[in-house]
Amino acid sequence: MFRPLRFILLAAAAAALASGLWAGLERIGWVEPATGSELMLWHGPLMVSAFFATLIGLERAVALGERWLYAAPALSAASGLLLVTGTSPQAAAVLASAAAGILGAGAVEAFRREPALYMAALATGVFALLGGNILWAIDGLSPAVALWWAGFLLLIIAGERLELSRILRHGPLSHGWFGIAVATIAASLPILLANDQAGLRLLGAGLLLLTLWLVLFDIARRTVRQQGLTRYMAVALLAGYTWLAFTGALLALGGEPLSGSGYDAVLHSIFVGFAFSMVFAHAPVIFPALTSLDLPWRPIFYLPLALLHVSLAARLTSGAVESFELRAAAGATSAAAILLFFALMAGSAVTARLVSPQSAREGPTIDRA
Amino acid sequence: MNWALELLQKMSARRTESGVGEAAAPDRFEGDAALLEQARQALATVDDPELGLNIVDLGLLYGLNATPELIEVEIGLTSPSCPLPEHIARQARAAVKGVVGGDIPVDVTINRKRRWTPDRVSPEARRLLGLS
Repeated sequence: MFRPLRFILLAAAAAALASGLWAGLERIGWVEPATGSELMLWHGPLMVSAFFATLIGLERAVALGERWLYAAPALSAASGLLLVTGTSPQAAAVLASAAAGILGAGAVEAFRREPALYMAALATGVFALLGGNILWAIDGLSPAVALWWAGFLLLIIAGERLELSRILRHGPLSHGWFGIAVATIAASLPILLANDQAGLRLLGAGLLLLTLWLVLFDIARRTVRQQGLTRYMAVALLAGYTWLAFTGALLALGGEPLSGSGYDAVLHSIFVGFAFSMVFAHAPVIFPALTSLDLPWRPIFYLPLALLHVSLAARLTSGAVESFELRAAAGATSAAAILLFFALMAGSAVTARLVSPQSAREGPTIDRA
Repeated sequence: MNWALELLQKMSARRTESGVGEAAAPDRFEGDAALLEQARQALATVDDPELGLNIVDLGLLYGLNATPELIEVEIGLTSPSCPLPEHIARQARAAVKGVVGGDIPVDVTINRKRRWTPDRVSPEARRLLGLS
């Protein structure tokens, strides 16, 4: 069934992503900013509160089957539009906060339907987004805002991993460990505002705890032995976990200044190495679910995944050797990897449509909510 | 083909023993035994892509009513936060239509109320995951 609203929201998310990547290329000096343009200032908000929040908001709305929840991705998308057009960054922050508030109400509804630890982690992640957006609206962008946004993605993904891994019938050790890891990450966010070094170290400890939980209890360790899409997803997940471990160690052992190459390494390890690896893992499943289009997985999907991780490693190396040229080339390669990935997905969907055009048509499905 | 119907009903009874919430309601398998078995086998080709396990082995098939006039399929979700219900429903419908032919309408119902538990996973799926 063709669902125009979903396609509009996905197009808005794609526009936010493209603009966010372009802003990133401006920041690292790969492209010259247009005269008078402030786009480069909005790289972070475009990538997280516009792209990720729109995508995740849409996914939540489809999952819960609640129409009112579509307001969340719509407001996130509108926030991105305001940033791209340079209309009003302040209004963009307010819209993004409203979107996160609605997403929060959705998380509470989901928890009401199934009160469980993984639902609590998902809800905590959404409230980290809300907190980050409110901080942005009140005080403008800051490293603390970026780290609250990181908390959003970390906790959401952690919750999803526990949800999927329930099939393994975890015992109290797993649940206790997971709860402590999530609580440590969540607690580090407000502490960051009062004492950034203490907050960073606590965040690092939380990341290490979460990584260890993922290594020991996540189902990806088992599904990586399977074939095709299932293995690809597990590989992408496990690759993302290595960046989580790296960031955790970096923060817990040394703390990191909230500026310079260390800060760049922390943010991009989480947002590119971890979060985008999760996107690469789940997109071949989520996009068909949102669009009703067939999107067969192809082995070529490994190429952008490898490019993403290699370019991130190069970016971190550039900080260690203080090479701005390497950083720019690495950042541009990461952007290229993301674009290549989505181009391959689009190509796969088009090919499938050409080969089997009838597959997009279907009868009604009764949804007993 | 009565053996297939009996087998499905036995599996249903076993799976719901330790259920919670609406899981206490038994799974329903009714109708023409041959069609039931055909439909069940078709649904066993619909996978959860991340787990690499099919929806029958995952215990997501809550009901089947198969007659030469209509096939009704009731499937559940592993979680209320699962974003795949429509996708799985679409694949389930296509799979069943693929084996029974285009003349019999196939209705797929997504049951969001019934709570899934890992106890519904089949021994074969657990073996594939290296759990037994």
